[in-house]
Amino acid sequence: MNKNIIVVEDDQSKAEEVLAFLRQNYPQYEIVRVSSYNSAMRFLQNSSFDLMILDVTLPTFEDEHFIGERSFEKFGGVMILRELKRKRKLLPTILFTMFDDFGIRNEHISLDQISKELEEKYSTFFLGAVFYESPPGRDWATSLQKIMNDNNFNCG
Amino acid sequence: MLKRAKNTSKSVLDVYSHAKAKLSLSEQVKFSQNKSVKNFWGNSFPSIVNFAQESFATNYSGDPIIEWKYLIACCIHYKERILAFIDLKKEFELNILNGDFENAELSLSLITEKYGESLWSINATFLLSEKQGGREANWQKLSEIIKTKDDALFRLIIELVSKKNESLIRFDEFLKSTHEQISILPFDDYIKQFVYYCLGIKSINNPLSSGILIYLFSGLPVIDRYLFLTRFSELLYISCDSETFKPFLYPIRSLYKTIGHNTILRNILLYENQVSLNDIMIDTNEFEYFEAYLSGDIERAASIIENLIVNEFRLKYLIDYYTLLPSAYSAKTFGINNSLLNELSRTISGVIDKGQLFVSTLRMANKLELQMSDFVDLSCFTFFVGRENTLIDSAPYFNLLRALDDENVGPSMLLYFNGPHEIKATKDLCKRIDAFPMVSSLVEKLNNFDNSNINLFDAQTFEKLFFADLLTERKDFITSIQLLESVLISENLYESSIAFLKIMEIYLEERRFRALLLHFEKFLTIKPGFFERVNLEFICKEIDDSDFENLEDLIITPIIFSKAQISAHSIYGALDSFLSFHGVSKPSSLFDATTKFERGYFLLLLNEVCVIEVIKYLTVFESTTEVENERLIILKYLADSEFPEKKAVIDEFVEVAQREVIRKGLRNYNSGKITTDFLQLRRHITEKLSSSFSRFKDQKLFVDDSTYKSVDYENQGQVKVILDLNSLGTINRYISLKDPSFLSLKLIVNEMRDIFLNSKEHGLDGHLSTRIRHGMLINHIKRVFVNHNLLAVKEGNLFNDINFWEYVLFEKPDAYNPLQIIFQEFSIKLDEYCQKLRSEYIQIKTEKDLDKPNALFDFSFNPEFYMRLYAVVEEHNIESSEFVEYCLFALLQITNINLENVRRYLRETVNSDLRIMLEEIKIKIQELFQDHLHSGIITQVNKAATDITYELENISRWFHLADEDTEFKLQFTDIISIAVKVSNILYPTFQLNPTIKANSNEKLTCSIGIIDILRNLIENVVVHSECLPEDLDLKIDGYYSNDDGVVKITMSHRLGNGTNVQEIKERFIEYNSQWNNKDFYGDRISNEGKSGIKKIRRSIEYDLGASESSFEFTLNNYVIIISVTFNIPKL
Repeated sequence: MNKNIIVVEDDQSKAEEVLAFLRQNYPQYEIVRVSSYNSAMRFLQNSSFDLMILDVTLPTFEDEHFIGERSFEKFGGVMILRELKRKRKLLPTILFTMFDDFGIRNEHISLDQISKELEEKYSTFFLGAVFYESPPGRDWATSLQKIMNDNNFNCG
Repeated sequence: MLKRAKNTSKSVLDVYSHAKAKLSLSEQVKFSQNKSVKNFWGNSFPSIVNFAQESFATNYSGDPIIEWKYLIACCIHYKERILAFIDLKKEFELNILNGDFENAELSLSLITEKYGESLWSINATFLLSEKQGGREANWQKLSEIIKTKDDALFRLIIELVSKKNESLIRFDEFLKSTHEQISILPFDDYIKQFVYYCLGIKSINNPLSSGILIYLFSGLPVIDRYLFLTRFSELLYISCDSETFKPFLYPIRSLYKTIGHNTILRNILLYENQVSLNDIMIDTNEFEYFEAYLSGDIERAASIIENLIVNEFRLKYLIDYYTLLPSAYSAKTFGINNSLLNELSRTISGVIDKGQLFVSTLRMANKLELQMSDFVDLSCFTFFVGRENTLIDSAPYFNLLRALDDENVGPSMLLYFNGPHEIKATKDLCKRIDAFPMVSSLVEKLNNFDNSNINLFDAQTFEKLFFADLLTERKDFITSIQLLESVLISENLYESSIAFLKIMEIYLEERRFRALLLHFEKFLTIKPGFFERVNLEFICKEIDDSDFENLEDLIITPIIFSKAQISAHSIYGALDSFLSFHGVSKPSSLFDATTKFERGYFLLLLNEVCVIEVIKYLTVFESTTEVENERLIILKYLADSEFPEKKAVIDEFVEVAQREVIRKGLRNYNSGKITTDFLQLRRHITEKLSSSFSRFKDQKLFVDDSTYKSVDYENQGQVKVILDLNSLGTINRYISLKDPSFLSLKLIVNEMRDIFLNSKEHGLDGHLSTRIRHGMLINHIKRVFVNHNLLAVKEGNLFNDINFWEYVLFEKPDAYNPLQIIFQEFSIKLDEYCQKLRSEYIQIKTEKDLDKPNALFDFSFNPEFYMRLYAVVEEHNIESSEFVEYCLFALLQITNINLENVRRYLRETVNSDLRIMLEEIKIKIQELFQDHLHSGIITQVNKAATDITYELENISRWFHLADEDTEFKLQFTDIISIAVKVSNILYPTFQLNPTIKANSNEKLTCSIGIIDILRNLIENVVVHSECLPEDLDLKIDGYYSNDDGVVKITMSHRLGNGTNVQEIKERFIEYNSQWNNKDFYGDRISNEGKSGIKKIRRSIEYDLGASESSFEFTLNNYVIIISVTFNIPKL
């Protein structure tokens, strides 16, 4: 049976980079990409995956682009993890985000803090968090690869 | 801050710091009196308080006990002045309580005259001025005080102190905005804790790490240090175990011995057996009314307390009056109007009453508690407010607070203080209260509790509550619950609510969530007030963590979740579990199974749980529209049922339905901004070119029939044309490029293209000019960066600072200016880029426009295009109308290709360019902060990068051809709402909430065009009103007559006080008189820079095609009313 990875990411350029990285280094996996909280939940409900690479902040729905229409889930990725636990679908997940700090007004929480909290809450399936820094840094690729390899997702 | 202190004269600081660390309390006092020692206590009684480096006389020692001793030694040194201050302070408080503001002012000025300014006096000033003259007086004082402060952090504190005294700001709003403001401060937690303390918001996370907090207070005046140490002692005592508290206790004893009168310190020492009860007065009044109450003589108890409130006011009497007596007494209030006493009395009775206004009254109580920072016996009030705010398991904590702040010891020490330690003082007290048999009997029973000897169920309800506690302590939960259930039926709401909470506590402690929820189910609808003291958030979190095990079937579970202040996603979790258990995926599917549930709760579930914010997470819905449709179905069901709040349901139905209309409207407004009016264009072109085309046909016949045809045959101008014309067949023949008929056709085609592109009425460039280039494009791009505080606004030739970063960078003030420069450079670059995009790229070019190499709308025709047309005409001998049709079709195809290119250019090139600019900012920021990279700033830049991609995606959607035949029609109120929404999106810092009215419910033609006109009118207000949105009082009125198609838009609003009214008047007189002068408002094309009103005038004529229009205004007392009237095609 084919192995699958689901990438939940709304930022086009970031998604392209991570998809290219996965296709190059893990060609044995089939990759599905979705870009909203809702579509991720639907996919997770109807299909089975071996790994999820998950952004933190996500739009609620897939195809709502117009001003005044689009709503965002600031911690959409965290919500998905919580749903996985409630629905007892313990899919190994790596958080993948370009923000190392979430919300400057209401909620002020760093990626490290989120990661630590998730490690405690979802220790059975949360594998870690990767901070994506846009070019020129490619540290994210090394970090992602390390977490994947440490958890037996080996390069092809 | 610490660094600042270190920067002052090092040698003196070192000596003083050494003395602070090594000397005992008395030695420190002695040391400070040495003539050679100057200012060992820092700036003790400053006439103007500041929080600067000079305020600190020592370095931070790193040890909380050293700092504690230093603080206390300072108070010992200044004991006389402190005692004198305390007397004056009492006088001030009594005056303000009784509403005697004149004398309160006198007391306050005497205090500041004698003891200088302090944080306490600043708070008192704001409280008094708010009472005397409302918020304006408060602001006036703020502006006077703030001018004298140099330090940004201290200025922030003063601003917040003023704000907490503003009566119009609700407690929750104050708390929320304060948390937000403080959370963005890039400081360690101890600085934030310091700010909270200065505001009277107190907590201790770890006493052993509180040294820095204590140290920071040593930088404030002695008065503030003394008040801080009192409150801090109290907080330490109730939060720590004896061992942790011990090192803090000994200095407190020394201070108390020196200073004498300090209730809280004395009571701490009393409970720690450090002072004798014999030295303390007993509050016989309090004993008397407790005795009467326990004997069942409520009337006498009430009379004693009323007398005490009037003659010997203490907060505890006021609280006891409303808590002990039955609810009938809650109607009585005390004190004259506007006095603090009256406010307290109304607030406490409102909270106890637990009626509909409970939440707002409790907020008022919280606010009062904050405003009355450091009032005498404030802790009694803190006890009351805190207890009402929190779970009952915090009761010992709050009970202790009440007992600690009791100046003359009363039963509260015996009855409320049933904490974990056995207190010798309570036993001593028992020996002295023989005169009060009921109280002593209760105390006796409590001290020697043995339920086998007492008939628990015959006891007074007040006693039962104490007995239940003791039973619970002994883990006899069954008897405890039985006892409490007998109290639940008490007429005294306070007592029955306590019983309800205590039962809840037991279930919670045993983690019996199912029993707990069923307990809630019994009372939720009949005694909703009981739930106000329940920490539902905590309970829901516990249930959430249990993954709803064995709770999925209960309808009360999602309902309780919806009552808690928790995220909509958590409520969704409870709802989804419930729906899944009942085998459905959406709420409306439950309509067939209503008999399974209690009707009232089912309707409550639909109304309060199944709201849009919650059901949007149900995966069965794929879009906001689907979610809203489900909500509409639910609302319709509720409206058709016996649901009591029908009006609210219908109001919501209308609102949700309108939301969908507005969203569709916005989508239309944002999607096709490029429209082509085929009918008009066709007519226009046909009219203009029919004679040219006839001429061309004649010419062609002539050429065909004469030798003229062969004129150029020998030249190179002849080309072989092989064309596949799809349905028209294939052409394979020679055409001469210099054939006069070919040249004629070329001219006709070019002219047709010019009309298509540049016609003032219907041309493409007109749409680009009025709907895209004029403001919209640039505003949409810029708003992303404004939202993330990256864009500086230019005024004249100078950029304003982005103030947002001032507090964020407080700890790194050196970085503030360089960061502003980075953003200013970015702003200049972005501005240039946007201007270029507008003036060079979103432009049209033809083969003639050599000066527009970058224009993205390329309508340059190559020879092949003309030959194709020529061949078609020649082969098929088509008529003028067919030719126009064919050309228009070709032009539309080219337009679509261009639009596709523009969309791609925006999504790819512009997106990439802007992201590169953001990357450059990031590099500069990284260079500026080096290894101390400030993550908050980078996060904002990253967020802007994601958002700009979305925004460019939005903008690219404007570049579609909209079909005029399926014109979107809207009601007038929706048109206005959409225009307001667009403005709010474009100007995120200027949010409007106008009063909207319209006379007609008809759906109007030209809706999108009217939105554009309204948007421009509103933009005019935003840019020129010089008024804050909340002061604007904007009213928008729409009038439509279907008899003659007349539309009238009337807008009224205030102008800011600084507005040059005369200048506006002159300008508007000119608009009015020149409205129909074409030289004044100009052509449609390329007028992006002109005034908003002129643009509105042009849009009315060219976009709406209105033949008549007018502009009127009136301007009186800084209120302007503008009316624009025009006609549109009738329905």
